[in-house]
Amino acid sequence: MSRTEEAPVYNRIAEARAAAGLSRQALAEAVGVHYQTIGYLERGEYSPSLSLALRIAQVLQQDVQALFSIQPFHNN
Amino acid sequence: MSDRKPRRFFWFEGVTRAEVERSLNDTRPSVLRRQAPRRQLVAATALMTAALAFSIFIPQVKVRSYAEIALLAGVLIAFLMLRKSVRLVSDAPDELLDERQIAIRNAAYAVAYRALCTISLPYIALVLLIQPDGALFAHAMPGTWSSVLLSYLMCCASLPAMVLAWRLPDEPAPLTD
Repeated sequence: MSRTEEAPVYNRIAEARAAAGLSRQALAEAVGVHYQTIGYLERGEYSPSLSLALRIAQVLQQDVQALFSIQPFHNN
Repeated sequence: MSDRKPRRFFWFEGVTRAEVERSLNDTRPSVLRRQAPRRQLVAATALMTAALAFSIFIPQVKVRSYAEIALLAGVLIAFLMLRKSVRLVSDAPDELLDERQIAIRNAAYAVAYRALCTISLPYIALVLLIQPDGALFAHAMPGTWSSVLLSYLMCCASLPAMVLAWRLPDEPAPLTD
């Protein structure tokens, strides 16, 4: 399967970030990426590396499986 | 530990740390943040670059000179706007980018390299055709290689930013939640 055919990675970053009271900028700074990258992640236009996914989960104090899935979340 | 000097100039990439960081963190609204205007800019750059190469066929010396200067200025301005439209991601070194930016930049370079290999063929054909024994020699002005060369050089310089500008989607709203 090519990169372009890769199955999308669904996420709940936007909900978890809102629940944590963080702005995109604050989350971006906490995990060491540009704020736009958080925006692209939330829009599902970029799939993070395992390292970045783990850092986001750590900052948002969630299990990585609760934030990312290759199956759509029920509320997606 | 990386060098944190804000004025550091990256010679190979042709950018400074400060200008890349300023561009990446620029939250001012701009039409170049949207895909459609960026694609129009890419199309305009491609047209002007091609026109610069074909300006050698303008028979009037004065008109050709003015056209070359205008087209070269246009291509240079478009090149700078293209870099700005992709927030210098096409030129920035790894240490100033995050993993997504590095990934899209590297993907753009791979596409740009393949495109450059293809685009080189018409340039080579054009140069061969304007040789003394070429089919278009009579139509091209003598001593006008510089336009073709400049066009090719600008094409080489612009292609990664053109590919990136074409492929990037609309940017997310800056700091809204």
